[in-house]
Amino acid sequence: MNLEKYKWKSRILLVITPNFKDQSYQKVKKIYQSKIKEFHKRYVKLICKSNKNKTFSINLIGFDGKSKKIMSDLKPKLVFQIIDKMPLGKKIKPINLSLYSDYNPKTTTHGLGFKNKEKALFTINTIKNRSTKYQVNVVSTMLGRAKNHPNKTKDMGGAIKVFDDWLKKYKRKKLKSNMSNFLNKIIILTILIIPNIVNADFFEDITDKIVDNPKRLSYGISVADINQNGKYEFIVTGFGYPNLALSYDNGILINIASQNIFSDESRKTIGVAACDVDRDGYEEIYFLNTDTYSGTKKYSDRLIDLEENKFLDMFEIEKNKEDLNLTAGRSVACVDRKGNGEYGLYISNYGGPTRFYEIEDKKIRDKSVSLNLDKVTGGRAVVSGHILTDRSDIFAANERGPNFLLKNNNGVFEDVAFDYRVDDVIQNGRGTALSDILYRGRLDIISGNWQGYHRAYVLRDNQFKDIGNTKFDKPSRIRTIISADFDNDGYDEVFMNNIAEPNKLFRIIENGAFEEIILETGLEPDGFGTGAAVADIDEDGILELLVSRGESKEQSLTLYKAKVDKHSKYLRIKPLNKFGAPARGATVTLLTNQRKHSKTIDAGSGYLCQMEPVAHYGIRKNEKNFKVEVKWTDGTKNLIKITSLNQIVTIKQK
Amino acid sequence: MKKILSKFILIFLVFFQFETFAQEKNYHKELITDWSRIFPDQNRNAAGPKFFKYIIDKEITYKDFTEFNKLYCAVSGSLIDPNSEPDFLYAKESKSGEKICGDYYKCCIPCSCDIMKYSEVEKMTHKFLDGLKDFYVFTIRNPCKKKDFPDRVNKDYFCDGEEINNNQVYNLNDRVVIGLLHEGRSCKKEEIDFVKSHQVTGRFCELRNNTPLENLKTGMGDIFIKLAR
Repeated sequence: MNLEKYKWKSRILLVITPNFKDQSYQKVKKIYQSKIKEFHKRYVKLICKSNKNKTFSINLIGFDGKSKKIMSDLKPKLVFQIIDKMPLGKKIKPINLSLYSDYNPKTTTHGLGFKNKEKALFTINTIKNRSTKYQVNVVSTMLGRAKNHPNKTKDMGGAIKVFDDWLKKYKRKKLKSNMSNFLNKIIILTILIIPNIVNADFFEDITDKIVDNPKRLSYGISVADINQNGKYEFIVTGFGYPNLALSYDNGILINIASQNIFSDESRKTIGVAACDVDRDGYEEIYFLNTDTYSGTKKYSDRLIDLEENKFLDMFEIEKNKEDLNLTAGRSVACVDRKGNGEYGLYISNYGGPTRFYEIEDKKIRDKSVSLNLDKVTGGRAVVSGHILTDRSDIFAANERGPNFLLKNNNGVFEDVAFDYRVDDVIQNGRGTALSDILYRGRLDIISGNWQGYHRAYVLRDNQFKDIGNTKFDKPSRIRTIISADFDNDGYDEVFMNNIAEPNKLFRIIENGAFEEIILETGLEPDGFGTGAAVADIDEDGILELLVSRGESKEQSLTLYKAKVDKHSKYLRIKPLNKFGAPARGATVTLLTNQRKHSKTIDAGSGYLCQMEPVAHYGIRKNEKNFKVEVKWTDGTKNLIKITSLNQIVTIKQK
Repeated sequence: MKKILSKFILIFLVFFQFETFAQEKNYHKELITDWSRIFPDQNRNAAGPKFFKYIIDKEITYKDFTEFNKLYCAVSGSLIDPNSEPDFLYAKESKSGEKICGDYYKCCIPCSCDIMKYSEVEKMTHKFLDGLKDFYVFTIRNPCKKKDFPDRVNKDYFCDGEEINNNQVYNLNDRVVIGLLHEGRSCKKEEIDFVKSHQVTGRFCELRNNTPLENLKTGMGDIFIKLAR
């Protein structure tokens, strides 16, 4: 028997049987059929011959045509073991036996073939309603058999072309479909895995609530009760434009300040802060005027008090004219340095000494020299609160010089900025806010730098460490920075007001991670932002954000409110000091099963601006066991239990 | 195609995760943060050696070391913008007199001229977190014996009496290391030709190097030259 034609193409399982009815032969056929895929995988072809003169035998012949094993019965496992140990030489060019076999005869479609183009077309037409997988298998098999047929005819070439074209068309279609699926998956994945970018229109623009909102040069904003009616107004400064007091009434914000001493259009006001300087239970308003960039200025500042419905400037009283501030400045903050409710005013001057005004013996005096505060710098921002001690400390962000971190030592200040690593000497300070970045029940410092790295300083081991990530610290033309829970989700956002550059918003999630919220509304890419402040001006439990604009181009004010989940809850804490005035500089801490979250009662003036004197908390999901601790400016504390949400709780210092 | 796309997605995800969760090292920010530690008196005139000492004393990898050293000017002591491009130049090796070529990150072009003329390079070996590395550094002679030590430079940064202050600057063979020559190696002839014919290291430097000291207004003026000559 000539087996030469199989040499290097397949292995042979040669069965010699006396006749085809032999039981051993029948058994071998059955076993081979049951394992046919395994045999074909190993290129083992079954060839049977009858020879009545010979006894039954099975001979396994290798690719090289030589006998490898002679057996009396077929044991597939043994055969496979022998084959799997055999080497595969370079001469071997095996035939794919599966192309010539019918593994499942029951499902066979008859009449298919590849002898010519017509037969190929008939084949494709016959199987067109079967599954794609089946069609691909049949066409591939027919193509393989035609290409490898030992007696290939010219007509088969036509069939090969038909099958080839069909397969190419199928692959193109499949690629297109795969691409589409993959792109869809990429889009879905991208959306799912972007944990630090939340795409949503966070704010709603409610600027239309401001009645009479012309283009102007506005700067600092404060929030205080200017007419002593128990409601807060937005006080907006004007640079050669009137200072405004925007009051909320019947769904609109309207200016209620008409007296000249307040609106004061002729002076150029940029900084503003309010606190009860004269201890009458109502806040006075300090307007910081700057008619020059640096050094000596023409007009002094004003300290506005309301008496019998009339505003007066306390600096215009003869006895107070001794120590007028005639140096250009930027920001002003209220500091209860002795913790007794007697607020002083830290004036962050530019190109001249810092001033610190207090009423002493019924007279306004500059105490900066005796308090070690009379340093000359490029003063920009100043905040005051419980930063290091149980008294009101001060952090001043400066330009062209180191920042100051003024530790309150029994009412006298010591600059420890270098020791605490917040001096940031070669950056130019701007927007600054006190914020509980780690939700750990203490105030840390967020400090923005003009076209420099913005800082998120967290106190660790007696030094502040900057934990801002690369998105947060990215240099920008920063102005005011606000830390507040705009959307009542229980996590504070940080609003970065940039000038002539888009604003930014971050959410502080757990462990001090800053997650950027991509703004659409409130982005103001062409806005010349000069200041911003928050207050729940309409008393609905959601903060409003007022942005002032101007500087190199007159622009109108803008007003925003976060789009809040309708099921969200809030809690607002309003501490009043022993004189009944807002306890600026006090720290409120919300204690629950989920957090210990401190907020400052804003003393001013992160950069030119001051927020409402209320600690506003949104409530987290599944949050319970609410308690509130107020740390007053003298370091004493009050703890109260909160029994219901969605309310403003006023806590009075005893 | 599917495999390529899968790989693309995998690479994208890996990079994205790094971007999202890993805090990329910001060498520039670190130098800004520590600036007042490096220059407690806020005088950084010609104080490249202070930067070098601050960086070499850190426990960092060689990559960190080279990245930090791209961010200050060895001549002026100024910080350099992170995206600055270096000048390709050469300086003479102290021992062999051979020209060593490499990249120099500068604050302004006159500094390239000054470093070529007034500094020499030396090979230095240092153990970083990732092992021992050899590299070339710019050095100047011990300036502490100078009678005309420039008064706008803080002498305490460099000197302990007439000796180099080893606590403040890096002393290599009684020379003060002022900065790193990046990618330093022996110059090929065509590299020397390139430096000599370049509009900065060639023509401009020739002009600057032939200008009387009292007429030097650009760069660090005469401060570094007085320190290094």
